[in-house]
Amino acid sequence: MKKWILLVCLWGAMSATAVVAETLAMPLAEYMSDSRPIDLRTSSSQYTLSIPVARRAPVVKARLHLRAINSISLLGNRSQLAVLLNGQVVAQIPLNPKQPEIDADIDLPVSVLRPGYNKLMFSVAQHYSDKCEDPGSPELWVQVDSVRSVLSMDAPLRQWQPRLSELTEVFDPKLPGKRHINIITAGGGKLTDNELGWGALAVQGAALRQEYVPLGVHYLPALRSNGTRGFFPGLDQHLLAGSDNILIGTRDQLAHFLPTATSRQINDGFIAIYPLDNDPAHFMVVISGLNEAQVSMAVHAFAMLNFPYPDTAFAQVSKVEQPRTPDYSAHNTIYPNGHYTFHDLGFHTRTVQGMFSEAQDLSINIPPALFGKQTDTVALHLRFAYGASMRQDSVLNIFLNGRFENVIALQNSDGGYFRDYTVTLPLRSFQPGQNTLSFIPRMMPLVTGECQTIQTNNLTLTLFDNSRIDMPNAAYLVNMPDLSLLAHAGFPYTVKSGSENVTVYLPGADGNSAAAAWMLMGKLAQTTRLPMFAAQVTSLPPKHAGEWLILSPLASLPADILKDAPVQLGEHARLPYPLAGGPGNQEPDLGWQAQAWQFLSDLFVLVPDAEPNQPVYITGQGDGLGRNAMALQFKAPWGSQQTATVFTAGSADILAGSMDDLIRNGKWERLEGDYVIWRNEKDYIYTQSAGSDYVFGEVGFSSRMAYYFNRHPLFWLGGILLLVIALALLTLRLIMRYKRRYHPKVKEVEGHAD
Amino acid sequence: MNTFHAKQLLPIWLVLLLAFVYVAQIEISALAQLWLAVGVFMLMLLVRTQAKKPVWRLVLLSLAAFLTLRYVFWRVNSTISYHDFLSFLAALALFLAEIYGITVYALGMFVNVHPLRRQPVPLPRDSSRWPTVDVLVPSYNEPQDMLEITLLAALAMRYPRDKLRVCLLDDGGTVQKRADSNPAKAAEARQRHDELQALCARIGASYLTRERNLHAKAGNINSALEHLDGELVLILDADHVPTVDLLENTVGSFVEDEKMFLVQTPHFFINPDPVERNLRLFSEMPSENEMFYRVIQHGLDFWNSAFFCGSAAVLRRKFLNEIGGISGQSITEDAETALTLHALGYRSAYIGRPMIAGLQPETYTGFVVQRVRWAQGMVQILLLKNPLLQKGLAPWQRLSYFSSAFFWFFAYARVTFVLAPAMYLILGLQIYDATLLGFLAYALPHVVAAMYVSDFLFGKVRWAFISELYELMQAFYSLPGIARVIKSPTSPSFMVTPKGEQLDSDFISKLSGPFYAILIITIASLLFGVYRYFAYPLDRDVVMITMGWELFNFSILIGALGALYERRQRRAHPRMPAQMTAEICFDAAPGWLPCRVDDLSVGGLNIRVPGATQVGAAASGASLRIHNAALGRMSELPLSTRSSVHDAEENITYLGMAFVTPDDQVKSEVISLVLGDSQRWVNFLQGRSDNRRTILHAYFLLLKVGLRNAIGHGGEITRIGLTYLLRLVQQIVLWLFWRVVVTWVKIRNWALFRDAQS
Repeated sequence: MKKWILLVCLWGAMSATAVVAETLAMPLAEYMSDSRPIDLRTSSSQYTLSIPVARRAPVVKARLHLRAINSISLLGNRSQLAVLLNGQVVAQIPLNPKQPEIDADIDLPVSVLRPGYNKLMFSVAQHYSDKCEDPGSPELWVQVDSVRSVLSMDAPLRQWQPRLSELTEVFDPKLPGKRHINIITAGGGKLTDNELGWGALAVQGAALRQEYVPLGVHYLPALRSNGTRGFFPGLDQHLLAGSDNILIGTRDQLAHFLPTATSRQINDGFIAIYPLDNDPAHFMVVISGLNEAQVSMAVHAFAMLNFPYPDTAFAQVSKVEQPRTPDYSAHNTIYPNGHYTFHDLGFHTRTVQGMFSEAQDLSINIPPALFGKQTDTVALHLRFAYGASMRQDSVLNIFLNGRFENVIALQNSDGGYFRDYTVTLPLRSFQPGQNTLSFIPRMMPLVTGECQTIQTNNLTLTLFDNSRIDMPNAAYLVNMPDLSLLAHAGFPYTVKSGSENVTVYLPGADGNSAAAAWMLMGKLAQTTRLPMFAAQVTSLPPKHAGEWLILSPLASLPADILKDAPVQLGEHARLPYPLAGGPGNQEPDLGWQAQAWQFLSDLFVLVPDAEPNQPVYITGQGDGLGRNAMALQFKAPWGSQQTATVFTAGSADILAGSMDDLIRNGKWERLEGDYVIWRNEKDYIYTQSAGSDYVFGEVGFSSRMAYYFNRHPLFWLGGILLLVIALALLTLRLIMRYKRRYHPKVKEVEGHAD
Repeated sequence: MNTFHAKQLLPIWLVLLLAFVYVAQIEISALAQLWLAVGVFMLMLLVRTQAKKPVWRLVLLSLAAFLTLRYVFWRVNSTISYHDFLSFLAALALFLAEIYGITVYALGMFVNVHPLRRQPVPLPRDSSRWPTVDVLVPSYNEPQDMLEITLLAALAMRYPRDKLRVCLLDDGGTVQKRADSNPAKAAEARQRHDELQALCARIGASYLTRERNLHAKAGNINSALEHLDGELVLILDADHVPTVDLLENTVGSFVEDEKMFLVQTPHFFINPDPVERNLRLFSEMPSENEMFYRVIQHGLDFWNSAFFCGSAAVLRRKFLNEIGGISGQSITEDAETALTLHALGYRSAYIGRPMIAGLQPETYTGFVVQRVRWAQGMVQILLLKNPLLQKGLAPWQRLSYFSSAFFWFFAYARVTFVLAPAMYLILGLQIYDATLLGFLAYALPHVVAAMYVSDFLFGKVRWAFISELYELMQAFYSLPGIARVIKSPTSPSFMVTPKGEQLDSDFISKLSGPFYAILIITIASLLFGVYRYFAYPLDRDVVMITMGWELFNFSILIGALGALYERRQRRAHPRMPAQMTAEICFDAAPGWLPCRVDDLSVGGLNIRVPGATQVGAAASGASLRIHNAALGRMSELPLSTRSSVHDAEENITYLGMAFVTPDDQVKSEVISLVLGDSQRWVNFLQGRSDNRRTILHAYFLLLKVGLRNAIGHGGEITRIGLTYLLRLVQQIVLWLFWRVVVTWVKIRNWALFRDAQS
């Protein structure tokens, strides 16, 4: 009972922070990739933000509190800042050089706001002179403060009876605020393996619809009530209000909670969605079946329903035929030796216009374990056209993950059309997992200057979607452990089809540990955009080899699990602490002989292993985790080249809360090394590489040889010498045989010149 | 031989070789490759200290081959891309040139893997077992005095007179020539015929000629063979004077091995070739031919592939008869004959002792004629006989002959290497895609290793960069010659190499034209390179590499230009250093004085006599008493004084003396003294070998002498140019003068006419 009270209290505390999608006030920086101020320069400039509006939460009121400052050199009667919403001017603000600070509240017409992504544009027209002026003059500027400018929207969740075809609206990434769901099962106490598996897939199904938005998870056991009406007459829903929910169980397990008519409909795998009785703005997804196998099938189907069919509140599922996907599958994965058109990767032909036109992005997923040689390049074969009469400094910049990589000069004044313009990028420039290639044109008009009429309609560029990207040959070979690969690509847990070789082990099998595991699996599914439908989730100790994810409070963690971990926890915990001051032990004041030896040693270290900073190990007693959570990655002791990743904390609820913090607050992308400690506090995350490394991958003999020789060329030199000596000895033997046969009587001159 | 073991060894060897090649193609980062290359090169330095032992020699060659293989794989996989059509064409041309070079390098390693340096096989004690020998001296237009020397030397060879016949084969006095429609030519032929016939009768040689001049030298020899029956045939070019021991050192091999068809000996020259003379390197630098005769032929001999070089060789008559004599589809009928006989299973040998002394072409023109003929002939053999597919040849013989023939495509490679930097620096063609690090990691180690191996194999007989110089000297004329052969393999005709030309004054070779063009291109290329360095900062590493390459080309070109400035050569008979002790007795002052002979030729000698010796008029006579090593006794020879210089400080008198040869016996004795001792040639060659230079030293020496002569060359061009300009100015002035005079006369006449009328 105490446990449940604690659960309720904790849940309540978290609910207080969960936004119920009513009034939301967010700085404009939250709608931008970074929180820099918005600079609008030159005589005419625009900046556009995307404002998401969910269909489920229509906006009834929207107000923009705008803070900005303009240049004091402007001509007041000819300078203004316009605010446009989806192309419609909603406000005009004069730019007064005598009162440069702008503080305005702008009511945005909700009729213009529509479900989807809305464009909020700041457009400036500013001058410093009535007469001829330089439109690019540096004193022409306005700066919008993206942190203190706040967009407030009242967007209450609407109430309606959803259908299964509208699941994407239920789990909508455009919904404001932090998102979380409750997973409810009928069983009490410890979760069974089936329930653990169902919860994992259900959360992944919801998370995938959330796209990139993190999804928090709570576990609640179904509480009985004695109601008689509504969609869930037998279910106590007072803890469920304010959140979306998923109820999973067999028909018999859920019979008490559902109306009889609904129960009677469960004759096979069953999925349904109904509004909560006490909170019609939130919903309950019911996943059931006659037996556990049917429930598994239904939850699998739930995870895969990403098309608006069926348009009903419930559906029966009799079979799910899941095709095998190749290893390293993910959304937009491109494989070695593959050739893909941009269209295959979701890119569409588009024409952009103007001096500062927006970027055209291409998302691709690179398999995380690729071993790219120095000379391996990814080739882009671009088909594009650009307009005439552009200035010589017009370019098409190519960025990779926000980093400038290459450029195409648009220098032909007659315009140009290229069918197969090849640009190569080093394979090593790509990061494991998701990458974004951005094509950003910067086109300048040929005619500029004072008193010139500048027209920009010729500044056009079209990038065609039959452009191609070619991947080089590369092996799958990577040095582990590396938590950054987990963060970027879910590696190594997303390699196989459906993660069939993955086991998620929850020794405690309690609700919080399960919630933590489900949140983690939801996040991993989001990295690849594919569910881990074949992964095992179990509370039983591991029996077979494979990739293991282990989530448990420290007290429940079996001792032998951490045998090869970079830290030893338990009663006598042994942990590494990095030395300050840089790598290596530098001897002071070497004599000339020692310096020479050092020089020779360094000479032949050649491609040195990245010498880890040797840490200090401190052994102490007791559990020192406190409020912290810990993630460890190391080579699994039960199989070669397999990985164990452990997430642990002092207690299950700290584990769950920390996992929620990890996936949600910008810490997930900072995972790296093999030993991470973090806490539910802003920016509190620390990483180390403390353990021994190993190689993951299946490569051909040649690639493996190349990999090892790159790392240890000194051994190669020795090997070559041995091979050469053997070859020379054998060659000499053959030569002597030849000589004895063909020149048996020849006497040679002694001491000849050579 | 234990064939069971050999059959086991070969597959293992092949597996090891495949492993070697496999390891060489593994791709690693450029930095790792750089360090690997440094490591391998340091191993090579270490191994070379033990390289006298065969196994370490092989290790050294294998390590170098490893670096080259790695370069080849990198070159093929990483440095060739398509940018535009012209660039691709140029890149391909350069790539083919490099592949040629690497192929020749690899074949060179194979040929020279275990050179065989035979001792001469001694003749049996019972001279009745010695075979009969016909000595054939084919001639076409060589002067009589040259032929007399050769014939007298041949007659002086140590061999039973009843088993030796010396024959002059005169193609200059054939019936066809004597009946020439041009009376002057016919008279000349008749005179030659009569004179040479008389010469032979006088000295005891046989004179042979034929009806018609068919098939040049080969036809001449084959025609003579119809009239001769010696078991062995020694062939000597007209200028190849044999030493007395030539037959002693060669005939024994035929007695020992009944399958022996050829014993070849080296061609040794007592005069510098045009390059050596013009750069004044003859006495210190090994001659260009030494690499072939002192190293490569020994390598070929190991593989039973030593081939007939046209002269200084003894052949077994019986085997020649089998194939109809000296056979020739090509103009290098000598090599072709050897290939045919090798294919029939007969054996050859090479005795590396120099036993003839010959003359090299005097002028660059003569040099080019000779080399183009050789190039065309060997390419003909490649095309018409294709050693790689020739039946009867063992695999190693195929490779050896292929190596000998394929070598002559150096002209293509050399021209390409000379022009390649300009293709990038001037035209901007992308001919080689590589970063500076890649170049340093792959290309430079290969080049350095190849140079190091070349120095190891040939360093005593070929200074560094001399190969490049000689190839450049020949390339511009060889290449069109080879092209003509490829277009029409049977078309080239035999051209006699002019020898014994005299150069009365310094002059620029008339074949210098292409070199001027290349010099202009090279200088322009360097200037463009400077421009590119500043205009394209991102390409600086490529520009630097290319300019380094072009500077190297420029330095070789300077050497070539220096060699093209022909120096005068007044001597009819070249002098060779002697360092012999002797005694001299002047007619005017009886008594024998000790003296030292500094140098000798058949025409005369330079001696130094200690003390203030008063020498009379230039025609004063003297006698020289000297040990004649060829004859094994003292010779006393009459001399006349040509010049006398007394060095008071050292109290030595330097005398230039001429031999007085009143009769054939004296003449023969002089020839024996001057040209009959093979040990003199051995010592001379050894002296030059001991003068070995390091790679860098050789480069800077070449640069220095080349520059010195190139300045002279430039001076001569300037002089010619000024002379021409002066002449032009004179002509213009003269023309103007006459125009003025004519005009004045006309005016005056008109004035007189007008006066007369008025």
